Amino acid sequence: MRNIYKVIIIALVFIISVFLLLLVVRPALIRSGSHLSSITDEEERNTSLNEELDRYLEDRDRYYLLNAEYQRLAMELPDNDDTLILTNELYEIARHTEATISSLTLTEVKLDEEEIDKSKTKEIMVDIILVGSYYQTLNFINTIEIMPRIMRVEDIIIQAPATDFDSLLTYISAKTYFINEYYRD
Amino acid sequence: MVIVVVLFVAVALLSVFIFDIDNLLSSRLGEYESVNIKLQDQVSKLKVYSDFNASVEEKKETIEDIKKDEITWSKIIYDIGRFMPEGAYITVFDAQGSQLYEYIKEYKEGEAQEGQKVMSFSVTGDAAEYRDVLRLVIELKKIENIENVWIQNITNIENIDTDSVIIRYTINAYWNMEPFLEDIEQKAETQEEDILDSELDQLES
Repeated sequence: MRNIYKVIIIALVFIISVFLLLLVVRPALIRSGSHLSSITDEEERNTSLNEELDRYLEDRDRYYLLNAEYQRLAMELPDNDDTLILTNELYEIARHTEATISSLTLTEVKLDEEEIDKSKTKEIMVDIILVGSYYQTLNFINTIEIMPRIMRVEDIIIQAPATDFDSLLTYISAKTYFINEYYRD
Repeated sequence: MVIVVVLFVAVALLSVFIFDIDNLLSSRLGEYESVNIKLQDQVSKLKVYSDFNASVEEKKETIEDIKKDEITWSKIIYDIGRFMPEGAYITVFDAQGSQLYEYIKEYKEGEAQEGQKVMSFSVTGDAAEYRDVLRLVIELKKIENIENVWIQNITNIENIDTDSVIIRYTINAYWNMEPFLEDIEQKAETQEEDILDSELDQLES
């Protein structure tokens, strides 16, 4: 073969090799690098998603237990004012303790505009005027303190009339709570 | 010439090899993406359970917060009844829990006056003699979380009809604030430590 052909073939082979390197190998290497980094990201995401999933599956498995717990908590702190149930409960407690409620006033404490989305709960002031003996009054106060719904007894005035010590007049001021639907975290 | 051919073959083989690796990585990435999409879908579906769990926890915390420092007045009234000396009785019992709750709220907000006395309750009644009032004061000091018991007033009342004298008294009882404020102070200290720690971390980094 003449030398000129050899040079041409060598030049051609060299050019093809360079083209192969530039058009196939280099882009493929760049793509592979980017794929590798994406795979690493996806692997990390996969691990975190699996961990998250495990946690959520645990929550799902405990759902019935959590639901029972929620129902119990909702008795203590209801999602709405539930004043009908509250009134009924208070009168039932009075009946049970043989004391007489001569007056019951429920007042929702209004939150001002600044507090409306900051306070987790709303308050109801419960003012009771009760007539009963010492033990009846004591029993009534004790029972409302431990009733399922939170009842924070704040102020009490017990007056003994000069004539009849078995009929004490008691003013009870208490607070009960319910969830504020406007609360934002 | 041989070297050129070998070089060409090597480049060609390298191209095929890298192309294959690229395809393999691409298919692996596709698999991961598809698995992660399915996982994400599952996570989104199950998130409702997690949210529910969070709301239960939040409710629990709120309830604990409200119930903290709650005064059990029935126990205090029972204790007063138990401790009453024979010669004395109460005509008015005035429990003022709202003062304590208000003070705790102000203390949390840093607006409360340090060392302020917070009244727990006051009792007004009659006694046969002043010693009964003193006995009552001694007994009232035994009530849980009561620090200071103060005789506000003792007055002799003459009954002309029976020609006798009775003692009318008013006693005020004040809270021992330490147990109520302990937790708040501890919480404030922990918060301060957390802030200092985070500042230190920032400086170190």
